[in-house]
Amino acid sequence: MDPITKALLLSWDLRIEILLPLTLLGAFQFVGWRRLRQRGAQRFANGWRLASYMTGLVVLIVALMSPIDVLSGHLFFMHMIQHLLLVMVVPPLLWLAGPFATGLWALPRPMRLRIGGWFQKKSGIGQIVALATRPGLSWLLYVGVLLGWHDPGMYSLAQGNGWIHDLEHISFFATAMLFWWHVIGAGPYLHRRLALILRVAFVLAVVPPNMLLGVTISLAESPIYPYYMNVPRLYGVSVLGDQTIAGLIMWIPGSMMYIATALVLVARLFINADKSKNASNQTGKILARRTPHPPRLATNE
Amino acid sequence: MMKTVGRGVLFLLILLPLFLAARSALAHAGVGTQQINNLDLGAYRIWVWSDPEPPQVGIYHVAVALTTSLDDDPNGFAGKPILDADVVVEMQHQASGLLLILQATHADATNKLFYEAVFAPEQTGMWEIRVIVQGPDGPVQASYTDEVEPPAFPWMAVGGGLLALVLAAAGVVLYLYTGGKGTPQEKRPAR
Repeated sequence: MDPITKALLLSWDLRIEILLPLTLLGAFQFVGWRRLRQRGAQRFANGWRLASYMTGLVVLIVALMSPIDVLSGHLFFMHMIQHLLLVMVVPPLLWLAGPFATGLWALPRPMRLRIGGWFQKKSGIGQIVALATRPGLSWLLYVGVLLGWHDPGMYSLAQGNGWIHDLEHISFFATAMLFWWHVIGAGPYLHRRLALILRVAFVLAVVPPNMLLGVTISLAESPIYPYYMNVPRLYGVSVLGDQTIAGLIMWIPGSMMYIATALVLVARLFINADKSKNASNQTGKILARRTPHPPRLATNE
Repeated sequence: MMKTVGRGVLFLLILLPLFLAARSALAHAGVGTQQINNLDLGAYRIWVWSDPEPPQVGIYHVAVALTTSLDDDPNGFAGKPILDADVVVEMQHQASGLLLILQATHADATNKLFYEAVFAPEQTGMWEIRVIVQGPDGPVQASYTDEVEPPAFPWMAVGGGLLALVLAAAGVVLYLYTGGKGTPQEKRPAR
């Protein structure tokens, strides 16, 4: 193997402050999942959900500690890949697992009931959380954070300070979790669930700002982020070439993720419509079978 | 009552890793301050970073990146990383003349394309840091000066720890407070 590639593959930044909470979350999820299955809820606690959650955690670890993270300090396009993993891949994988309900089942019964009670629609905490995480606000936060951190000043600030860089990643991830919560429609159900057609619009509305940012970065004729002019270039990728690739990644695969999600939602819309049509046809037939013939009027024939 | 206290302790134990994580995060903070940027040293180009910022008594990291210097590349952006160089870092206290010498290695660096040396300077004041690269064309060196300050009170660590404790206490209070209203009947797994 090429020694440079080998050195890169060995460059892991193992951070206990990331590993520990993620390991705990994974263990919690597994215990809850197992308990649910023992109680006969196999349909909810199925293998796919557990696999989805664990894959989400693994991708999160890869994004934050693998050579992707180490290289992101030198190559803008690697930083872009890291951000895409944080905002477009990990959150849907985690939400698809139904993590809230499963995680609750890892707790002892009294604690489960009490903490579960906090997230009821009528509870005080539930109402506050519901108010602070309304779909419109979540969308604005997601797009605002995405655009805000790509401002050259903010970007330089984050690259120059480890704390601010971590804050950048936390804000990306947190707002993405909020955004995808509404898209996936997972519990806790503090809001009225968005109709599928509204979810399609919710996702597609992110495409224009995302695309605009990607196009701006990829077509810029001079380096936007001066940070990358002060680091050694790897594999002979120039600063401008690196920037173009990063912009293209945001523009094309980034936008494709939202479009693909919208297509999945549209497919579900059609499947649901088909199901309800079949169900109403079935109901009609059953009713027709059960309805007695109109009684004949007694005649004196 | 004992049961309630036990639950509170359990809750604190659950939150303890977060507190530890906050402390660990503090120890990790800082990506380094660039001290030398793309300096042409004949056969090489060199980049040097130091960490933490500001430097404090007890810990001083020096990270070095080396690439080949090409004649047709005046910007120094086309050179490949050099991984087999012999890199030594010297740290000399300007007032006392005390000299610390360490071999910079890939093993000490997070990014294995870099070389890193980890010093533990005990004296405050100005230090001269020299990075010496042994190559086929003889040794070349680059240097800079940096001021090491007395160890500062770890406000961030204490603040982070306190915040974690306040959050933990708030969780316990909330948990105990919401317990008196009766718990809903559990009929089936929550969705």
